Amino acid sequence: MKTFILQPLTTATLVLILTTPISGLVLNGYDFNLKWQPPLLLALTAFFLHLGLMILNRRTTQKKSASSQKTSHHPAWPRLATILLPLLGLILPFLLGKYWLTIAILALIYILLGLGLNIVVGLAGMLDLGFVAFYAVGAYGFALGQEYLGLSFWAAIPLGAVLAATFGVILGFPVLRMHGDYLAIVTLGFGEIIRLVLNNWITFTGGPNGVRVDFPTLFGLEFSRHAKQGGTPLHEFLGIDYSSNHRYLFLYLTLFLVVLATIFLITRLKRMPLGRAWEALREDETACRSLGINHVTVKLSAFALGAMTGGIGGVFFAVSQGFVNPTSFTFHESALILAIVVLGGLGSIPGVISAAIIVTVLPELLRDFSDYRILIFGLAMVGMMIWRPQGLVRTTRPVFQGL
Amino acid sequence: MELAILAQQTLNGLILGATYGLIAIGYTMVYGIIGMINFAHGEIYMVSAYVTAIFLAVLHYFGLANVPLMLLAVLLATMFVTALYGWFLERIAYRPLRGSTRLAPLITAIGLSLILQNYVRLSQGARSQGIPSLLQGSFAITLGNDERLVQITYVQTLIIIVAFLSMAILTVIMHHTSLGRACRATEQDRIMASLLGIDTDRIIATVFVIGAAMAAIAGVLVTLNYGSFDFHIGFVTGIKAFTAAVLGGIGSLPGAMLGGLVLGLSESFFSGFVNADYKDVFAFSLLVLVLIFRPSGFLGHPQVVKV
Amino acid sequence: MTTLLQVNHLNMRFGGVVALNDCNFQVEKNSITALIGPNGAGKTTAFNCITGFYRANQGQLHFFPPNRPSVNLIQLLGQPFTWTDPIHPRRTLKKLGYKLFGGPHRIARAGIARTFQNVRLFKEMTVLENLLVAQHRQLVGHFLSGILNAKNFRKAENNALDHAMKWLAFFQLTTEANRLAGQLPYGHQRRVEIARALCTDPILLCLDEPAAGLNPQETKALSQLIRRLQKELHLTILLIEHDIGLVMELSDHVIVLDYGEVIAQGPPAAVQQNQKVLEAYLG
Ligand SMILES: Nc1ncnc2c1ncn2[C@@H]1O[C@H](COP(=O)(O)OP(=O)(O)O)[C@@H](O)[C@H]1O
Ligand SMILES: [Mg+2]
Repeated sequence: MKTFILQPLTTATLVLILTTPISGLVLNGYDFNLKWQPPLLLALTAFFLHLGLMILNRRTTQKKSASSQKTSHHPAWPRLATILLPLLGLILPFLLGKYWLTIAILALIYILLGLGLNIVVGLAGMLDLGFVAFYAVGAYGFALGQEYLGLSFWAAIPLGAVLAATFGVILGFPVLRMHGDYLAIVTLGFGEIIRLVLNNWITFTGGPNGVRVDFPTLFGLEFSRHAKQGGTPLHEFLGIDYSSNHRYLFLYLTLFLVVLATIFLITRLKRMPLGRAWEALREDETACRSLGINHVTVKLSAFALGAMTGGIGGVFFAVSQGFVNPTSFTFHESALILAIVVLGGLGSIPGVISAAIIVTVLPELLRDFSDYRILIFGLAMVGMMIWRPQGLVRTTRPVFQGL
Repeated sequence: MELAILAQQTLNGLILGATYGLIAIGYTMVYGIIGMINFAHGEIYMVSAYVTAIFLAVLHYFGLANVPLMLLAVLLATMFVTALYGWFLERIAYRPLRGSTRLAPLITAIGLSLILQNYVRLSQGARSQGIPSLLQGSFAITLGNDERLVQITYVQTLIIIVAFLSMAILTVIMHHTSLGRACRATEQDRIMASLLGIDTDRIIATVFVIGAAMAAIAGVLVTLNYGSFDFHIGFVTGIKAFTAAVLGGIGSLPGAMLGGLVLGLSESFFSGFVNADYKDVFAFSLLVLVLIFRPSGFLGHPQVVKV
Repeated sequence: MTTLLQVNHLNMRFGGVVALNDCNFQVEKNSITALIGPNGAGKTTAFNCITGFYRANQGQLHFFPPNRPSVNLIQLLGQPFTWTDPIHPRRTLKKLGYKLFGGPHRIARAGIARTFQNVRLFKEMTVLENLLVAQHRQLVGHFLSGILNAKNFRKAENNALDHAMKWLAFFQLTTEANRLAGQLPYGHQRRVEIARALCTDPILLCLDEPAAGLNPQETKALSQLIRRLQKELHLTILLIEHDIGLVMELSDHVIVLDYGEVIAQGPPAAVQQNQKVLEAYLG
């Protein structure tokens, strides 16, 4: 019983010592202000957290001896949901106002990015910390292509994908041969290089001022009130009133189709030799090589596919913002996408989708907490790794029947 | 005149390189002992810059005016608090993950650096902070004909002396004490070391503490030199210090210092003679190239992955 | 008898440790050859050199698959670049090709499969998936039809499943097919690993201590299965084993390693009498 108080008390004291300088003594010019609440609050939290964990630990060790081995092969995603959810997604935009529509579009973009990074991190087990680079390649590829070459949105989607994949391959080929965690730091460096070049090459990219992006047309129909790009406005063509919502609706629906296609592709791939090889590489690279699998090409395929998805996400991002500049492509963005994948449970598609929605929508609902957003994601990432490294939902394995 | 610029850039490079080297020690030792990149190490350095300023302000508040005493007190106090941060992170975030997947500690490290950054931002505000300059004045080194070659401030002198002194002390500790021997044994073969009665968990914690303390020295010195800092500084400096560690050969202590100096000098020359805007691009490209062509760095050993 | 694998002057050093010193031996086709020796003698290292996970410092490794051209195993790993390379562009290109695409997987494709001393299964995947991954090469061609789940993909996939089930039946693991490999008991994991190696349709099967950690019954069953692999399926087997009883009963040819050197080789009965071998094991 004594340890039950003593250990948490030690932790609390430690936290108090640790946090007093930073959160208790706040710099004010060359002087400082004393704030005694934050360190005390943190210490108190630490005390109860430690106590709670100790109690929890004792419970689970007692339980473990009784419980049996778990083998859960229930389909995680019942058939009904696979039909209902896409339908809901299709109906949803017609019920939303402009503000929430833009957030829904952002959520879809993050779903796309999450799905892409999920291939690399969740399935193939490679930590890519520079995913934002491919996102930037897609976004800037479209923006600059439009500015200099008059590239259209519809051409930009495949081109952006190919361009990002090419970047992925160029970076990946030498790096993927290396063992271990170096990949993480190289991709991190690469992401920063891309951002710095975009920021500093002012004559080409416009530097920090960024590039403007025109809204796409649909078979020559424009989404503006008056034709600007030499076509007919959509609302005139359809004979309905102009609404600024139309363009967002259009974007949402296009993006929705792309996301559906991506989900379909990944679901198929997971049940194909390539997808299995990704997961096998994540589990044990040496064993894979002993089975005749060329780890470099298999990893490269995952890397390129992830990059492709990121590139497409970038194109949509550029369109939805009407404008791109380097501040959208910092390391924080990569970390955010990584948080989505980690919280979604490394490898699980429904997990990634729910995490992306939570990560984009929750801060809008809890405005007061928006300052704490990244702090909370960081805490969640660490907590996940410690308590549930397999993610919120353990991905189910395919079961082969009738054998 | 050309010579003067060259000399000045060399000096800047040395200063920069010494701080990279000090931070690189944390990366290199942790990598050597548990084979993991501690991404949060750059943020530890950032925390130490804040702690430095806070302790200076506190000492000032209590009316301490003796500059050398003040500096020493701040250095020791910052080292203590920062080392405690290093120890704490290892204890709560990395130790539970021993024997987990390879990805888990890396993701945790990213999470930790987000936490530290935002904890500091929320506590101390987002704008950049500063300290008053304590040590003013400089030496001038002149050529024979009274032309000034290079100007070295007192702070820069202090940086070079303290950096090399702490490196030397660390080397002595690692090679001539039982703690150092235990560290090196754990690095060679953790399981074997634990069979021989070494408390490897404690050794790993010690390595985190040493790394953090060295980063704290860098934090104090850089803060004294530049006078200003914000909650972002850990990120870029962290990657560069890691580059230094890789350049010197990850796992090697002298390598960290050597890598730091090489990186500092080349970065300083690049920004002085080629293009200052792209100096970070240069450093990151160097990292990528080294990893591709010589992943074992200057002093590291190419490793055979045990099957 | 024809030779399947020829090892000449094999040398392997790790820093100061000489793990293999001028090893010469060969593996006859359709034989069971055992590699024995005290702990740390270099047996696993020899396996790793043969299967390409380590690059030997010196020596030649030749593999002579029946009805196919012989393979220089070391070349498959790619050679390091040297300063004279720029003068020989063709050679350099070839080196570059091997550097980019070479490696142990090429050796596996040449027909050498192996298991590992410390079992290396894909723990978070099912047993069947483990065996399907081993057939990656036969399946990966059907990419587009795989996405569309077309008929020829399903057919190839079903063939692979049949193949996998055949090996699972051989090792009496049919009931475990859909369990996670990491959750199986240790003895079963060892057998799954062998089954997985066999799914690559190897010519030479290298087993690193297959009976380690098995109980006497399991060991006996395993030795019968290995015998069947040789007799019924005409495989060649190279195995490392500590259980001398098993080695004497099973093998046609025994190679004894000590401190990285081959100190004796020959039929089991002869090796058992060899003075040096007795010394190595006793002294
Ligand atoms: N990757 C490696 N790095 C350093 N030393 C190694 C490595 N692999 C094997 N060794 C050394 O080579 C020697 C032979 O080891 P091994 O081949 O595993 O022996 P065994 O006959 O028990 O399988 C040992 O001294 C071992 O320490
Ligand atoms: Mg062995």
